[in-house]
Amino acid sequence: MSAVANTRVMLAALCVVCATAAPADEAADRTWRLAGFGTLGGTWADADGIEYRRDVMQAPTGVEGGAGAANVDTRLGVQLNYQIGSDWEAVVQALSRYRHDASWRPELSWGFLRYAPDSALTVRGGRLGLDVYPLADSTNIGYSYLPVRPAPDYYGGIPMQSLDGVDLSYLWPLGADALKFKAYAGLAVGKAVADAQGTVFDLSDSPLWGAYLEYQGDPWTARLGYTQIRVAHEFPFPGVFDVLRNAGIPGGPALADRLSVEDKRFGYIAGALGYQRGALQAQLAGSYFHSHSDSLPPYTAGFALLGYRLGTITPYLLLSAARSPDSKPESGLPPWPILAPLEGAVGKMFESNLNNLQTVALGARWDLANHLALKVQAERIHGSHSIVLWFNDNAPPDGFKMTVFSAVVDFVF
Amino acid sequence: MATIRLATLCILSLLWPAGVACAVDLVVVVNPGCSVPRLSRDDVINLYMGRLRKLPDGTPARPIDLLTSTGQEKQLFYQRLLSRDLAEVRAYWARLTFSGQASPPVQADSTEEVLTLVQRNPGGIGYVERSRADARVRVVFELGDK
Repeated sequence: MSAVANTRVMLAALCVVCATAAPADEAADRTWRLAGFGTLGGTWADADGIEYRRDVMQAPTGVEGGAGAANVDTRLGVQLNYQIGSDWEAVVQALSRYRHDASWRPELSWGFLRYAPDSALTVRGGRLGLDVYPLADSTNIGYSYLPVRPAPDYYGGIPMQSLDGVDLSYLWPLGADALKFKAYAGLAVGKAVADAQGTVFDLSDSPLWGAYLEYQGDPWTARLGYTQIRVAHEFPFPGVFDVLRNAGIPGGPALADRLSVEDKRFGYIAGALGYQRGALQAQLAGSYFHSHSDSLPPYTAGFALLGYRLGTITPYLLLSAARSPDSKPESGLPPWPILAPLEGAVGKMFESNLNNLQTVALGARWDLANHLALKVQAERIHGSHSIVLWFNDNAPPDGFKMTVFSAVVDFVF
Repeated sequence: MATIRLATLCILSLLWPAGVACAVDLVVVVNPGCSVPRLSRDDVINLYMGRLRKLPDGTPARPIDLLTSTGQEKQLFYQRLLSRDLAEVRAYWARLTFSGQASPPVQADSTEEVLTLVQRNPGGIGYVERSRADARVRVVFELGDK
């Protein structure tokens, strides 16, 4: 069966499951539970040569120059929980979204066994969600958060959402509040788009571990966590590395080592604070990506979200930014004209993973029915570099400004 | 003029929460065989937010919720317990459910079904109007009528 036919069959199967699943509110007292979530939406952007994306795992979307598309936020997920006795549970989740290969092929986003012998301890093994998203364990459940999408400046640069491994969490109740510690380890599952030809940077098999401490209170929540990964595969540009290492260019092997990501460690530290009391809700988060490779430079990112509920409508303001160090590394290659194409390729590797942008977004969420929310959002982005936005050859060379409009319907069932 | 009035009414209906709190006296009930004499407000919050999976006596807890369509009890329960709107509670559970962290309370079609489920499950816990709490259940916490 061809990939296209395969995708159609899988999507049809998902639709059948959606149609037959009981609404979440009507789940009876039984050992299994079938539920799902999804987002239907459209996004429009005005900038020429810069395509809007939600994260680095999406192929170019075509959302640029006044064109719109439904591929940025639209997604559909189905989850089956099966309770095995009082302490064990099996969970499987399939997700269809616009992927790195421009397809909608459903993936296994979760598939694990959970052991919870008491209220405090939980151990899970299998395919797990990567829990580095403060205040939202998954960025795919649009219904669970206020804006149209989690701030791409902050969340979009993480090229994975799952790991194959184990996690352990422990919860200490503190009155009506709770303190939670969680640690996880395993192999990453994730692919990021590397160039317009569809080349993919594969993070599979990369060992990662992490931990966080979370305070779940009323009205405050807080989380501080750290994740480290050792990348198993090299950047998918073997030609560049081969020339640098083997062509006898002075400084070439040293530059190749600086650009290499294979077997190097990268760290991500993130802290977040949340406040919710009555109609008011606010979030503040900051993160730092630590790197040992010049081709994936470090960056800091943050966002602030403020929302106020007026009946069924919640207007909100979302500010976000990401910034890499100002200095662009020197290649160290000799200034020979014959090396100009190589110098250009290396420069592009330096530049394509830099961040320097700010976003201001205004929007509103309308809970128009049980398990159904309509959101609209307008955002203004300006800066010079972004690892999430997709820069085509006709992108403006020095800085950009773009306006983005989005409208989505989020649902759970 | 009539059009303006209609538009104003439409906007107000969007901005005003569905249903208005009134004097419904809610109580939290458990199975009569449960050895727990009382539950604290913190216990009830933690049980209904998925943070506690067992009652204080160690019995696996089975929190039971009401469908939204059954009346205003559910809205009043979460408003009085957590000061949260039902849409916020649903968003909270969507996050936990689809992270594989916890499953939401069982949903009952009616107060009668809540009473039956609590009676059947040793760890059953539900909320009903005080006047509906009969011999099938025992009151362990009072939310009051405000």
